[in-house]
Amino acid sequence: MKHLSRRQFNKALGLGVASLSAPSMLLGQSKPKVVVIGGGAGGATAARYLAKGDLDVTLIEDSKKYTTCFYSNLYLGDVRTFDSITHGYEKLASDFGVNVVNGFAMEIDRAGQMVKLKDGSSVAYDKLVVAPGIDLVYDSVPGYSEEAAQIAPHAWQGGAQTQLLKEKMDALKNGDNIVMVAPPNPYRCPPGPYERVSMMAHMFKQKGMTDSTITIIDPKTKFSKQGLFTEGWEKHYSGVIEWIGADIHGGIKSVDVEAGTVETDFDTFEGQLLNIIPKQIAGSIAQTAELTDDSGFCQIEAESMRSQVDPNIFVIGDASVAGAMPKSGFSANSQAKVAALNIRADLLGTKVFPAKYSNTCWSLIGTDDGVKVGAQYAAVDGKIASTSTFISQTGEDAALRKTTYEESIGWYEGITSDMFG
Amino acid sequence: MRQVYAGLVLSIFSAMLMANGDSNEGASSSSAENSSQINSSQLSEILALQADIDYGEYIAGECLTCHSVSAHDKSIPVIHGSDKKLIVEALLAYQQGVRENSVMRSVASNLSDEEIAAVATFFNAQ
Ligand SMILES: Cc1cc2nc3c(=O)[nH]c(=O)nc-3n(C[C@H](O)[C@H](O)[C@H](O)COP(=O)(O)OP(=O)(O)OC[C@H]3O[C@@H](n4cnc5c(N)ncnc54)[C@H](O)[C@@H]3O)c2cc1C
Repeated sequence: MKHLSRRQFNKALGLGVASLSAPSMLLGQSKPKVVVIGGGAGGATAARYLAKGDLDVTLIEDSKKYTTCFYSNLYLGDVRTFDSITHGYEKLASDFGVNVVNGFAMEIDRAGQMVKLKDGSSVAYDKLVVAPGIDLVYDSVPGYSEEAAQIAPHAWQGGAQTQLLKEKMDALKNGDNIVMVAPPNPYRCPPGPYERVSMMAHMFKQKGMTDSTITIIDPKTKFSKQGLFTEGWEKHYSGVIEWIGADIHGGIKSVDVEAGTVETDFDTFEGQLLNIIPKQIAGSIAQTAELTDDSGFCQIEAESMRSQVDPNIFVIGDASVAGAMPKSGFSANSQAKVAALNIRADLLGTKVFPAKYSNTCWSLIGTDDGVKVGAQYAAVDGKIASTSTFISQTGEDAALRKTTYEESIGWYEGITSDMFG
Repeated sequence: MRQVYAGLVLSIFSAMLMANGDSNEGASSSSAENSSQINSSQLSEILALQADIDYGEYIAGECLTCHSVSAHDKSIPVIHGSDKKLIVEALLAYQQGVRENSVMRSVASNLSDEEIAAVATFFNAQ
């Protein structure tokens, strides 16, 4: 958890007070109040689709800037700049009238319908959207910890960790090796680890680091878009990337970030850079507010994204258990719109339509070599189920792969302007 | 170490060369091509439907994840303010397999005639 500087603290306090007093109390109006916790792919979208002038919408976000995890692998591969994947909340405030509060939500008083912030302030709600993304279970990989993540970054939350991993990649010399420990299911962005190693290998290739290798130690026995990645690695980076699944290594025993080693039942792997991606659960606020089940994630109603444990709360994005939908920025954005529709209906009596969800995950394997997997979803018998799916094919020609990659550039621009205005 | 795995990695690789879903996705065709190949009676039926613009606004949310309101990038077109007939034609072309793009075929295959009318009416009004 981050500590706020005095300036941030004052700012958060100032904005917090403003949002409490206006407009309902000062102007004698009583617009229904919606609070959104977390300004990521889910929360920022929800705030934007809720704020149409007839609701008092407050967005509580811990960071001043949001660096997307999507496209962060392209930043690691020198395909995108850090600035181009970093966004601010200014337009949500200025163009959409969202009260943006910079602060950390510590507690939800569900009976009193109040969110308590770390700085001591609190914000009342009629309906609450919980979109905190994920927390990492560091010790799910024995030997790993939040401190160890300063040496062996996970970079599975955007911003500082992504930059740290990039710095460490840039410092590698020819002949240095990377070892990645991939996460167990369920985790955010199923193809993400494999896109990442593609971009790491891309960097080696660009820099002529022909003696460097990447080993993935995976707690799983198969992974997303496996055929496509395996084909692409062979094509672009033959001999550079080795994937070792659980049935081969037999289990991850421990990591030693100082020594740069990952010990498995089968063997010990050594790298000059370790990228450890541990098990994931819903962001801490969802745990504290007891919205989670044994899996560490939150059960929701498929028709609305409403929490199964509290009808005034909607959980969207990575923190939710969304049936067949993967944890992705696209999914979170899509779920936010269903939640916003239902919250507006609850509070304003507007129309409700059947839930429609969608997702596409694009991945970049090499220069202009993009692939995608996606689906449409609906609420079927109380579960979010896919109604049609698609995936790129092995053996596709270079022109099609380039078109697919270019499509992802358009998507990135689309989703970030949909989130932030 | 590396040699030990080489064989394994290779066999995983070949096992994974699998085929599923649609293939041969090419560059999109122009709207003139769409209109000549799509089912024209379905087109006129949809254009004659009484559209629910509120429903259209909700469905548009699905489009706006990718189709930004004012895109700098040209890979995904802006559809805000597009002509209603063009949108209906395009969606039908994807739905009927005349136009190729796996994302758009998936989206369009899940839209009813009423939904196509609603979303096209909404974008047309922007
Ligand atoms: C390497 C990588 C690549 C990826 N690539 C893609 C991709 O190509 N396409 C795709 O669709 N998805 C991708 N993803 C997944 C995507 O980033 C996530 O699924 C998505 O961000 C989830 O959105 P969210 O709103 O649930 O959480 P987040 O986007 O993480 O947002 C949560 C926000 O809540 C804030 N927060 C948390 N707790 C509190 C609190 N108590 N108080 C205040 N603020 C709080 C956090 O600061 C954060 O800003 C990728 C992920 C990774 C790691």
